Amino acid sequence: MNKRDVFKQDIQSAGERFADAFSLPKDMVVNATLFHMVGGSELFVENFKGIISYTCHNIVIKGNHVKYCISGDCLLIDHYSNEDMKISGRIKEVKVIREA
Amino acid sequence: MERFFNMCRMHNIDLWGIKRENDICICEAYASDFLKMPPLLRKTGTRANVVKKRGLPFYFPFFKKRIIFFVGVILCLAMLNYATRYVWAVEYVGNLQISDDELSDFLEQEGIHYGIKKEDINCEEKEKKLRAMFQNVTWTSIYFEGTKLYIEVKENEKSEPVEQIITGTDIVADEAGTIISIVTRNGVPRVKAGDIVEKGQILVSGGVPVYDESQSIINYQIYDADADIYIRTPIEYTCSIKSSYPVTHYTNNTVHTGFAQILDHQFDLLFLYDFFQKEPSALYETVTEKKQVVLLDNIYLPIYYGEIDRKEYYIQYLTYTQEEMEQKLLDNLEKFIIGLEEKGVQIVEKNVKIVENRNGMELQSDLLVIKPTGIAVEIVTENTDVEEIKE
Repeated sequence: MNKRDVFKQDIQSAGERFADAFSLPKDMVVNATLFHMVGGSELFVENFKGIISYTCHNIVIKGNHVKYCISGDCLLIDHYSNEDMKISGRIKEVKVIREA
Repeated sequence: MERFFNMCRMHNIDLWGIKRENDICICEAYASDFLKMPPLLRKTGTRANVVKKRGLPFYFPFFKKRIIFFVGVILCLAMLNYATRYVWAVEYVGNLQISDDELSDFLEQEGIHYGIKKEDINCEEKEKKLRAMFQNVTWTSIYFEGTKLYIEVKENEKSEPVEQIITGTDIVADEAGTIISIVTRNGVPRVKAGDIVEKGQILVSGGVPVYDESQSIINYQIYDADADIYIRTPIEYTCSIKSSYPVTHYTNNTVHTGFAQILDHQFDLLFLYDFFQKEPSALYETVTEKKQVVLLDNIYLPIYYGEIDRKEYYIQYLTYTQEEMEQKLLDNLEKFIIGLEEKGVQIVEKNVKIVENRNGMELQSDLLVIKPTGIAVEIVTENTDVEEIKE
């Protein structure tokens, strides 16, 4: 990890602390991706940067400095817009892939 | 492909229903957004094909091909809307004592008829008038259901005893003759059995004199005279018969066809039969069975359909024999006598004469009968014939 990345991480953790201290929504302050899951069949995603890959079994979403991998069966993007996206299907796993 | 989706997102192009099938993705987008896609497709090296078009604008070519059908549907709806603004059927509910004909007459008086505009009928006002016209109607409701006008009434089921208003009446003879018997229940008899009376003569007087101690009349009590009076009186009866009489013969030329009627215009195929008819002035007996078109049980339309049965016939004039004519006349006389007997008339004497004339035959009969007589007539002057009664 180079100095730049360490600095970025420090900034991020500082932002999180700041949000905690002032009771502000963390997703707004540190630009974090927001997931809202309904049972095991629906997942609403907000504040993301885009889709990296999409297959029936895997959807990889790019967030701020992290990637999210949603695994399951028959995955379908019900809605995809600038604001949010909705994924439906049999969701088995939501995994955070931290960039090295 | 993911890049294409991300670029769509960046250009505010909404996508939904994205589904992966092997190497292709199927998704939905707005038609206006689809027109923005070609540069993005070029940049990402993606190809897009339209699988299905959905929405009203894509139906315009479909409408264009079937324009007559849709115009017909719209016209039909417009006509239905127009027709449902009028009354095309009337039903009476709850009337037992008042007949349908009486209610129909009332509606006619009020200017309510088939084909009248619903908005021209002031239901509340008509309800008041209906109650005012029929005294035994305790409640009424006039309302519409579809194109049907309902006249609902409730009648006073308990028949109140009719108050007898004593107006003061005499009984007078309604024909001349000899009184056979007189039984007076109310009033003062003016005649006795065996008296010969003229038509209009008072038989029983409704004014009953009140005497004082010196037997002089001080007042009259007025009653409705009531009595059973029998009179012997002559009755004349004449009956004639023509020697020729018509007999209807049906030919085998019968027509059974359907018809349709819109308002007063009837459409049928009878004119075609008439066209091929050998005798245009033939006589027909026509029986029509007519049914009204009803939508959803209550929307009666001014459209009728049904069947017409038309039978051709001709009239043949036959001649009675003398015996037949005599028999017919005697039968008629017999029926007349039976009718009299049913009314309580006794035949005392009967003289029958049958005369032959130019057209046929005539029966002249003089009957002497004993029958109930007397009609009630209102007392005109209060102190009539005071002196007579005194005697």
